[in-house]
Amino acid sequence: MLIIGSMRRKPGTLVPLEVEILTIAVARAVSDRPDFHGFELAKLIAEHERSGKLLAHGTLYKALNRLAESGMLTAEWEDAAIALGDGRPRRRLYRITVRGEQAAASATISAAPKRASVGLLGLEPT
Amino acid sequence: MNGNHPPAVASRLTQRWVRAYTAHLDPARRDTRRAEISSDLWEHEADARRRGVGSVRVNAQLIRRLLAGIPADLSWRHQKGDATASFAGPAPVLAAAPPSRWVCRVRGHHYVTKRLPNKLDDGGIYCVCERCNHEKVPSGGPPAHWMSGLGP
Repeated sequence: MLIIGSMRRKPGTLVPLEVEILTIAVARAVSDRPDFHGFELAKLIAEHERSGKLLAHGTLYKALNRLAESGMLTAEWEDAAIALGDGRPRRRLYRITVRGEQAAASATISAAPKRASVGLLGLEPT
Repeated sequence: MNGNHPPAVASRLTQRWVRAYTAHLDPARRDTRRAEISSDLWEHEADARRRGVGSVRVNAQLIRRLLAGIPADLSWRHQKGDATASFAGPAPVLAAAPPSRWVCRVRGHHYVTKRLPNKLDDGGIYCVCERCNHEKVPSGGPPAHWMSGLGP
């Protein structure tokens, strides 16, 4: 799996944000709440990056949309009765797929040598 | 404004923007995006209320999320507009009177054909879209990407 930073990429490549989403989704898959919604994900990413800044709507949902369309995440609207009971709009819930897990693992492996070499040089990853 | 009031201004602004850039998209895709952003806005405001964040700050956060996402919104819209651009087959066989105008749909944009008397004085109907480039509506029927007739 090739990870690139620019917006123009070949099909099947992942940008860093998509890798981060998949990584979070993998972690969620083994928890008691394997699915997540967009705003929840924005908060998780902000916590993960310790930036305190929530991702822009356009950036977040474009990435989620792409991952869902490529079969790495499933996306389903929650039961309307649950949302109604809570008095809020329905959430669109995402969950990692086997393909998404494989992509996340592959991306992690491909990124590992770079991190290791950076670590050996005593540099902070950029 | 205080923390008890939702930052309706920023939410409304965001929703207006979402309505604008999703206009003329495939209805399922359009409705999904609009509903998802509405849900996000609601969750954001609810989370802010739970944490006691003031509405001024929440408005600022929402505006920042809106503005920072505009390039991605436009890029997504461009991609989805292309994906849904229909070069769908010729319009169905029309009833008795042939239409005098056609709707040409290219890359998510709709163009209505026009009579252009100054082009050729032949009373013909021409499409002004970027694909057709003032192509005359053929007498044997519309080209493959012409969507539908608008009546005589």
